[in-house]
Amino acid sequence: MPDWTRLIPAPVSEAWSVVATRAERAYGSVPNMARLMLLALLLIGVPFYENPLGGGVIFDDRWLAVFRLVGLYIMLGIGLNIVVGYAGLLDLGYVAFFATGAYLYALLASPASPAIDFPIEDVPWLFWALLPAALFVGALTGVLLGIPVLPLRGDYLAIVTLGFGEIIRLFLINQTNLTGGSQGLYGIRAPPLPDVPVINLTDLKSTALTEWYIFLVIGVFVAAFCAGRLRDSRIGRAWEAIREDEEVASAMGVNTIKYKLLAFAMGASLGSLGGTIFAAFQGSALPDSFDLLVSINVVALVVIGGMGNTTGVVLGAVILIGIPDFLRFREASDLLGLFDPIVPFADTHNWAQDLRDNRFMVFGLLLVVVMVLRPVGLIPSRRRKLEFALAEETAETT
Amino acid sequence: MADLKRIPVGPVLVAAIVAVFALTVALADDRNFWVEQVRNGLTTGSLYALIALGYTMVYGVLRMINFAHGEVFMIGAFAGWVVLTEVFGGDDMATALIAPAILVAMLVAALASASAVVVIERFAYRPLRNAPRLAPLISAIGVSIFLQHLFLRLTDGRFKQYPRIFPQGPDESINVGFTEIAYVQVFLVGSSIVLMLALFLFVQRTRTGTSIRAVAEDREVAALMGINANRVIVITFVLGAGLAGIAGVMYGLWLLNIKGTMGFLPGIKAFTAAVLGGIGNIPGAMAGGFLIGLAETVGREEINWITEQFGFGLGLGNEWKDGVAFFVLIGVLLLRPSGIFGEVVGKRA
Amino acid sequence: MPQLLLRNRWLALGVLFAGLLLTLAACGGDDETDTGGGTAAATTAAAGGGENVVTVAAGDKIQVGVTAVLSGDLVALGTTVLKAAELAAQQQGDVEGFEVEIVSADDTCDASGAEPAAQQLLANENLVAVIGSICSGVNVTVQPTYEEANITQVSSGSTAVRVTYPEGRDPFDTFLRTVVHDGVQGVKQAEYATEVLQSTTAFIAHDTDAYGTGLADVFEDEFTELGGEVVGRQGWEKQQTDFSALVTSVTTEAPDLVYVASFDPEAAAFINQLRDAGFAGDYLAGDGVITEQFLTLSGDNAEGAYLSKPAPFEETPELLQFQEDYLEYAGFPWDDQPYAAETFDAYTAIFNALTEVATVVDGNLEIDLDALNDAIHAQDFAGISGNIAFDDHGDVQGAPGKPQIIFFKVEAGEYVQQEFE
Repeated sequence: MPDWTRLIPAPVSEAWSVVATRAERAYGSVPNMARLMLLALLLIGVPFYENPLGGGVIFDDRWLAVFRLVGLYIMLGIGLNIVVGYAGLLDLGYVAFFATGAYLYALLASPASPAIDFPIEDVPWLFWALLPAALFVGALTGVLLGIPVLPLRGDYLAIVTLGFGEIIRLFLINQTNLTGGSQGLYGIRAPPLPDVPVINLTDLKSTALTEWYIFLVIGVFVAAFCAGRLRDSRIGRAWEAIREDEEVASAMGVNTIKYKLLAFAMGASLGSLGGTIFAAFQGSALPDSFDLLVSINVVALVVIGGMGNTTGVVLGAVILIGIPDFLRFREASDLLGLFDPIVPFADTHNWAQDLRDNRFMVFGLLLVVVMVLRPVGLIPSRRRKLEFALAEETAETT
Repeated sequence: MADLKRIPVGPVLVAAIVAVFALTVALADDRNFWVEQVRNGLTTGSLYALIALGYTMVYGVLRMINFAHGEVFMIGAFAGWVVLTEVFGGDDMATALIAPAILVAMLVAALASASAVVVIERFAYRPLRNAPRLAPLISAIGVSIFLQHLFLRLTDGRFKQYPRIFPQGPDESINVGFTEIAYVQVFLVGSSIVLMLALFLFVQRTRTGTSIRAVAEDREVAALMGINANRVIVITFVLGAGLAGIAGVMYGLWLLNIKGTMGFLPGIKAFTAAVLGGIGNIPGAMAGGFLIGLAETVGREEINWITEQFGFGLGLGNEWKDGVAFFVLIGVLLLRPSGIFGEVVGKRA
Repeated sequence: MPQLLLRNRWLALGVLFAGLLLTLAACGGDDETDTGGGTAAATTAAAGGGENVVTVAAGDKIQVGVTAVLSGDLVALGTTVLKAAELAAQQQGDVEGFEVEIVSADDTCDASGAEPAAQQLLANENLVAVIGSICSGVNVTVQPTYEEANITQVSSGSTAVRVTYPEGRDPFDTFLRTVVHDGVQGVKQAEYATEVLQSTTAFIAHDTDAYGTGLADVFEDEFTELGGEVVGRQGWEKQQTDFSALVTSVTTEAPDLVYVASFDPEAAAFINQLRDAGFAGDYLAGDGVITEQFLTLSGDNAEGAYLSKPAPFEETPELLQFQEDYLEYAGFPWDDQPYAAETFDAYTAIFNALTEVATVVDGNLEIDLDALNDAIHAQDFAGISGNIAFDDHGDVQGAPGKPQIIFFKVEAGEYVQQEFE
């Protein structure tokens, strides 16, 4: 496999070395946690950065809507990363957990909910109460779905979990008297989010999108932190053992059943949490939003970004979720329009729209190309790279 | 206890199902309904069976699910459509031309599907033979999505319609006493069985067929025996794709509407059929296909009828039709993962 | 070099992100022109954003948004609407010398695409109103957003009842539609079935989407109330083509009438298989089916089928002119997909209201969004899809005394209108 980092021209990589070394010397002494906090603060401040040339905030609501969605998918990706990246269980039905969390909240909070008549006006803080409930219900669902598929491996596991996801979707559509059917549950009033204190001198009014965005940034960091701790714990090592060779792990005394179920449970609980948050900020839960494509998107962003690696998940989400939505913006057309002088035969301004129109084809192609050129993903964890290199060597020598 | 293990599950299960069915027909008000659903199930099942063969053979030699096989089926359907409308004139073609037109369409479809799969195998699967096991699956998913949307774009997202050349209508059927079997249904079931028999004989009796079985059993040893494993793998893909392509034309002649996304569900159901029959097992896949077709129609209604007798009728209508295959898949993999007739997979090379 | 990247992953990411921010800051800021009012106006990315007056500077254009499905396999639906809006804008001309520009956003006909599309439209400074969405799922999700931004939506294709009859709250003032909702159609269809077709038993087949289920629900309720018996009801997922099992169920029940609530591809395949199996009863379907494509897809099997359509499309000279103009502008016939005419009327309603309400102040055009909303509500004119007047829920009323749902029968491969009050 070619080391694509060699494609970067020498002067650029040299310049980068200099910058990175200096940065390391300057910040090397600052502990990791502080660096993360700095990053978190930088991100939280995004809705408030103003254009120094005048014209107000750089990232207005339409940007925040995209960031919010990317953040949600990062959270889902972190959850699926636990199942796929850490424990090596390919789950193509992750949307089932996402739907569980979403409907958990929607069934209670939507006035259109057929079977349940919950006095949501009297209990506006329901959302907050439901967050831990979502984690719990998600974990439960994960265990329930995990038990039957315990003996399955690889491709079979993938297809069966896909089947589960589809069955859940059919259930949501057909059991109209319980789930509201394909009409969906709507009118979910946004829960009261704590007001973001004004931190700037000018009188900035923060909109709901700002608050949701910040909430998601915090949520993602917490989730990533927890996932990281899990990975570096005994549980994480058990998962690694199972991922590398399940029989050997079992022979070594690792309780594969317990750890596999744990992986499903943890992954599912994050998915469910994401679902609840989604239903709350979207204001509606329609079965169309919970189809196979969601599962495939999350798997794709984990795999393409780099498995077992939170940074990979972030990169995957930005590429697969962020960019297609960004392409709607006129800034995207402008950006692509910069290539116009180089490309004489086409109007590159249209590339944004063309890419959007064909985004599924591009998506499919991207999956194939990335897998063929770099099967470990773009930013794999060091372990994965080693595993793969080892596998390649063995294959070459046989 | 040991004696129980010797009971062949396959035949016993089949016998049990047949018994329950016979009981239902005897007790039900409208016998015609059940017979007709059987007829429907077999017709649909014949298509699933043809497609399932592709899955089962590829899994046998490569231990890989060709997630894009459903799209190969779709490509065949479109190729046939092009032939019938552009070359032969569509609805206006002379009656004498119909039979040869269909044959040519099937041939072209088989070629188109085969070519597509050769390209897919070479560029999306072969580079990933030694990659981490998720990679080929993700790549296959990518191919599937790409092809689906490519054809959607080519057709502006609409259905294209096959010319209505195959005699279909209220009178175009064989009367078997209590019900009618349409010519097109006979055609589908009959052709599928012929094709499947041909494949089976090919795999069992010819040299190439034997080398396929050899590679499926142990790729390394087969290579040591002088078999070009890559070539055999491609041939396997081609055989499966050819059958799927022909199935595509048959689908088009019967149901008329074809669309870029048409391959996804039949693909999954055909995979279920392959697993049901025992992956790698060619006769198993054939049986599995018919069984899934029956499960979707008769099986579902059977469940409705049984639960009604017990007072809490599930009433699974047509909207649950596609869900049946998923339930069967989960059921099979939980209860009897090697399939009804036993899987036929050798060591992974 | 790669080692540094890996070792300081978070740092690298942070630096990368910061770099990206700065680059985007350079490009992103220039386009934001201040409409006056300091920095506060820009944070609420809507031209209205809770504000009430849109000021279009001299030389700028007024913007009317269109939210529709503009990618994916439903793209034909959305493009039809967009083209109709653009044509209408071209033909209706200026408001007080200010040109009207159509800005569009792709909502992918999906609840998850609804909000991004809305945000995109709302980011346009001079947005005054939005046409769309034709998808009820989108509307149901995004109505609160537009209400908050004080932007009026006029939908030309969303027919779910609940869009103007939301549960648990009053109807949205900022939402109107020029298309009749399913509640009306379903009821009329049931009446037609019992009175004209004399059906005593019916089998209901519908698609499992919101549209099909909703319409089927209305029909079922009304049909049963009028004394009919529903002998079976089954759904199909969109894209389904093999209806053999369902057809067998239908023929076994042998109802007088088969009622279909879905779109044309499935309905056509279904009627083909139904007739091929020898079913001779009546077939009644609604506006999702009544297209040219249905006739081509079902050929002879469509003979004798009954279909209904909301809005009496009288062959007025205006309609005929529109058909011509549309074919020329869009390159495909106006009725290939539904809602072209309704969109044209939706635009006209907005345009008329604009001319009534917009005032020129110091060379700039000022539009009071509340007044605009009132003016749209008060519209009453003869559009090409029927009389355009709205009730207090925002639903189109139609001319008094004229039927809102008209029925057709397929005879010799054509839709022939039937008499029915």
